[in-house]
Amino acid sequence: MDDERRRILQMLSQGKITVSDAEKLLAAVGEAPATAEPAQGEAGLIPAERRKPRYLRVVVEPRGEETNGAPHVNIRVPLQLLRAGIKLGALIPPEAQAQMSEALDEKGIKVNLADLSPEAIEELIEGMSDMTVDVDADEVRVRVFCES
Amino acid sequence: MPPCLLRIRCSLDSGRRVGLWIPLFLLYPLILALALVVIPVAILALLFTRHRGKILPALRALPQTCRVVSSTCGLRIEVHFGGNHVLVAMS
Repeated sequence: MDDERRRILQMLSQGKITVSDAEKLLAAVGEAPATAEPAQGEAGLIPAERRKPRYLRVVVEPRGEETNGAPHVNIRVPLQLLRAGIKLGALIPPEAQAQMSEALDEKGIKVNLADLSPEAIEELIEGMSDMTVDVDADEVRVRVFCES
Repeated sequence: MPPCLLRIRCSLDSGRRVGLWIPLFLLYPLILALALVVIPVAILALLFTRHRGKILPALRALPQTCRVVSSTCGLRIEVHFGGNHVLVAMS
């Protein structure tokens, strides 16, 4: 990295490039570390690349080796379906949305469907990329997570 | 990309098994042809009845519905319970 910067400054001093060209080159060289391989941290671990989550997974599997009668559920939902569903939901007439919110409220789910916007869902999906829900019950283990 | 194949597999404790492979890519041209016939008739019906105000929302819902269908690619639901097994997969 220092060699590159030195070379750029040499070319500038020799008049081979202009000041604005040198600026651009130095900025590019300065940004290079962000795109290159990240340096190893104290623990010697290279952090995993942050990928956008593509699927929501719900896995229910029996604990232990005996699986007779125990439920085993494997659900994979594309997050794109959530996005498209929210956009379709925005087309529901307000009267129908109010009725749906009322019905959900009666079941104890206090959600105002009019507040669900595509931007809010995008933020939620971004936040879900690091989410893992792990529940260990007596006979089953439930995991909810996102995968790319 | 819309899903091309719908796979449904059920095997029950009683020994009964059902397996379906539905090639959705063959259905899309049929649905498109049907839509080309039905949509203009539906629009005319809405125009000449008291539901005139619902034309625009209905038209806006069409592309969103197509997006929802396209987003189901990769959906997989698999449930084992006792001796019963149900699989629904869209790919």
